[in-house]
Parts: sequence; structure tokens; C-alpha cells
Amino acid sequence: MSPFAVSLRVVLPALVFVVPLGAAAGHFLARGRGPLRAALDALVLVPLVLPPSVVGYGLLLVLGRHGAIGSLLEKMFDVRLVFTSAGASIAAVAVALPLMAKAAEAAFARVDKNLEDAALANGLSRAATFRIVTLPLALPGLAAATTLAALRALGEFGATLTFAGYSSQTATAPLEVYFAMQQGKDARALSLSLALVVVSTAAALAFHAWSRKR
Amino acid sequence: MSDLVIDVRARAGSFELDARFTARSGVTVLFGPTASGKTMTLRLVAGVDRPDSGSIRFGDRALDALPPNERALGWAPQDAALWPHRSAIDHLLPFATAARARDLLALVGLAPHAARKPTRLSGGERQRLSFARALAREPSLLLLDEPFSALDDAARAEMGDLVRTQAARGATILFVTHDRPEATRLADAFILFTSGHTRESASLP
Repeated sequence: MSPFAVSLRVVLPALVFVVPLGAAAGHFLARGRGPLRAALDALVLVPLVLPPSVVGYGLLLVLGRHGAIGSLLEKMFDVRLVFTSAGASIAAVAVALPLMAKAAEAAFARVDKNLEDAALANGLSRAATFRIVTLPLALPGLAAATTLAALRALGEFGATLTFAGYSSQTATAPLEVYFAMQQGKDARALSLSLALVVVSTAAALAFHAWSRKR
Repeated sequence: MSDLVIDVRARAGSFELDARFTARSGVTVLFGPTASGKTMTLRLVAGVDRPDSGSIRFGDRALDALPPNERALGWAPQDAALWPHRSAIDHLLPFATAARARDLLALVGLAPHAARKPTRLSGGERQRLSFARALAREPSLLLLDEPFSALDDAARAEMGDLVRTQAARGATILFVTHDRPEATRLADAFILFTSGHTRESASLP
């Protein structure tokens, strides 16, 4: 399988978790109050500032074959995460989710609270206010957050290698660049790198054009 | 008919509000200089700000114990607070049937602009739309914060008639204005605000 096909198989399932969970966390960070919000804020920052290898090692300690949860998964469900695309997806979630949450927080914070208040005080439920006012106004910012998170997941290297390891299922484009280089396959490393540059730039430009049109 | 009984204390920076008054069915005009607590009082009744202490009762319901969306009131905030992504008619559809939404737009003179978004409405038209939104559910409590300040005298009188119509069907209306002729024309009672304190009055000072 081509490294980009592997990347897609890793990134897309990761985004299924990252986008809704990150948006929900971002909303709570933007509108919530109290110690719970402060705790989440700190919790979200930690994986953002830690070296990805440390994040990956942490995942290995918990979810690896000898980890507390990992050994249970293997015993009860015969599920192994190391060397699988599921493991690589988990690594991608771990690094992309905090980024999604912080970017989504900014998107929700930009929505004028007076506009939500006008909906609530005139009788709309919280859910209806979110659907009719908050979400549509936050959508461009959430799209930006999703783009950022997707690119971060696509570019993920350190946590993936440390936790999920290098196998046919985890050989995403960034890992292949590294191992092609290690094995002296310079042409392959270069072509994969260029492809990553093109994909990332195209995604950034497409988003830029779309956000200007709105 | 339902009385609105307000007895609240609230603080915003160095400003302290101590509002105590009763508003009966009809139009109660809140009158006083800028930054004397009129908008703050309306926001407390609407439930979008919380008082430090005190109570707000409407009839037999303790409004202060309810979230804003369960207070069953209409609120036209000072800056209109329209939704930039929604057309005029789409400001009313969450609250009313399509037929009633069209009637409301016609009532406030916005029928030709149903499809316009707020950026394509004038200041006065934005206020009319915000007023229509507050009326949409026919609430028995209406909070109108300088709702017609951007309208000319003729349009103001026309909208004033609509406010009187609401009073005639028994609604309790808090109406903030700086305009003396408008205040005297609409009011059944006055609450005079001076630096955070309130006084009930039968006329303007």
C-alpha cells in the first residue's frame, strides 16, 4: 500500500474522533467556567508542549501490550494496538485533539455572546441557540481548526513511531520519509517529502480561498 | 394581571445597582441619564446577567430562579443583537410559524426586506427587526431597550402604537428611552434612575 493510502487509513478514523471531541472541548473552554474548565485547559496544553516521543511513550505505557489497558484489551478482546493502523490513529488523535480543542476554543470565543443571549432570552433552548446562532457563526473557525488538526495528524511522526512502531500498517508518509532516508533511498524520501509539501500547501491555500469567499 | 416585582443588587466594576420597583401591566418607562443602570436592570430581568442578591418576580413566578430561555419574555437589547448570517425572516422563524413571521415583518414595515441580512438593513430597520423578534412569541413580559432610537419621529410614533397595542392586550412592558416626548406618549408609569438607584414616579422630573 502506498504511504499516502496508509496515511489516509490512519488520519481519517482519527479525525472522526478529533473533530467532534475537539469541537466540544473547545466550546467548553470558550464558554465554560470554574475549576473544571481550568483543569481541561491545562490538560489540553500538556500534549501540545510535550515532545511527541514522550506522548508516544506515555501511550505505550498505558495502551501497549504490557500497559494497564493494553494488556486488558489483548486478554479480553485479542486486540493489539502496537504495529497496527488503529495504534497509529490513536497516536494521531493524541497529538491532533489538543490542537483541535485550542483552535475550536478560538472559533467559539469569536462568537459574540450577545447574539446567543438574544436567542436565549427570547425563548430559544440552549440546543436551538447552539444550532441556529453559535455553530453557524463558529463554522469558518471550526473549518480552520479541522484543517489544522488534519494536517497535524497527517504530519504526525514522533508519537506514531514511539507508540505504534514501524510496520506495513503504520508506514505513513512521514514515517516512510524517515525510513527511506535511513535506507539510502534518497529519491523516494525526496518525492514523498515533496508530495507532503504539496498536499499541506494545497490544503492551506484551499482553506484560505474558502474563508475569503465567505 | 401580572406585576413585575424587582428588588436586586448588582455590581459592574465600580458601578453599583440597587433597583427596587414594581411594574404593572402596561408600559413602564425607565428614564434617566446614561450609565444609571437601566440597561443593567433589563439584562438582569432577561437573565443574561446575574444579580449579586435580591429577587425578580413576575406574577407568581420567581424569574431569578429560571434560566433566560424559561423566563417566557421578549427582549430587544440595546444594540439589536441581530444574527449576521440570517435573513430578516429567519430571525422570526425559530419563534413563530411562517405565516405569523410574515405578518410580524409586515407589522413592523419590513415585509419587502424579508430576505435581507442585517448588514443590508438600516439602523432603524435593524431595530424594527429586533422589536419584531421580541414580539414573536407574544410574551406577557417585554423588555425594550431604546428600541426605536434610530427611527425618525413618524416611524417612532408608528412603532409606539404597536407598543401600546401590546400594553392593551395586558403585557407588562419595560421601556428604556432618552426621548421625553416618546416617554410621555407611551408611559403608564415611570421609574426614574439616578446613578444606580430607582424611584417610582407618575411623571417625568
